Amino acid sequence: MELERLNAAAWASADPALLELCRLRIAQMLDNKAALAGIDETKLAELACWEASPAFTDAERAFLAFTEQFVISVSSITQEQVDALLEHASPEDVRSFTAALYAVELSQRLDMVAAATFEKGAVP
Amino acid sequence: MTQLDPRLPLAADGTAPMAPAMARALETFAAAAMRARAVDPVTTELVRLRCAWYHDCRLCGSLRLEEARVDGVDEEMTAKISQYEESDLPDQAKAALRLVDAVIIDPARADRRLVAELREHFTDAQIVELLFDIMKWSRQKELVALRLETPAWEGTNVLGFDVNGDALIGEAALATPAS
Repeated sequence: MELERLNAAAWASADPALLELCRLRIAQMLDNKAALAGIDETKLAELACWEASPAFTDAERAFLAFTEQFVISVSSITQEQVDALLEHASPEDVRSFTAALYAVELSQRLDMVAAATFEKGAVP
Repeated sequence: MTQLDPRLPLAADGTAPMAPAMARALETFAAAAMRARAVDPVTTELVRLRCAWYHDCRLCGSLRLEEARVDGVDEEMTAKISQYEESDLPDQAKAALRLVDAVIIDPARADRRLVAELREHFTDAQIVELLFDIMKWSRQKELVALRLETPAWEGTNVLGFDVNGDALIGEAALATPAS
């Protein structure tokens, strides 16, 4: 219940379009097939190579770069990566987005491990 | 500015505010996770410190759960967490730490072998509690990303939780009945 509330607050507190883009990129990085099911394949292919794609805005690129580093090694995030976010969002929005990213990423990780651990797939 | 200074401009009161509803939701989730008591304090502490070590959280790494200290977790045991696979930590502890790594490093590690190992040492309720503990102790990713996790003390400090699951640090942690 509290996990659902946390995720609801995450989506209400961050730019939902940016968070959705980053949620999908996280799902790709984690190979979370369940989270990618039903998503347009062309969109996913574009997202997988977002650095080379002209389809993304500067803001989207800044948030995607931050998200990737957040997933791979959070302690290696640089001041430059945070500054890039601050070019497009206020400090409070960056803080809220980062908290939302935590909720979205760890929820996916928890779902994947729970699916492997429990027959019903989700955390009981 | 060093690499560990806050990466956001701070408000006049020295904080970096976020949306109030998100802040409340984080606290509510954390407290709910900490109210669960099916897992023993030693395992809980090893899991917490594995998350702190992997995420490089200076705040979590500087805290020591008082209940676990009473039950035998000392600095010698704590030092084994980073290289636990090569350590003499008990099999149950290693199973819990492998679950941590499956969640925070690579979910693909949650294979049949790990599931069997977990079921040998933990009940379903305990596994669920461990999963929520891992999520709670990974909340620090948000703080580490923005380097907002500088402890307000030198060295280590004492950690406890009250009956509501809210964190107590220092003298308050020593005084709580839950410790």
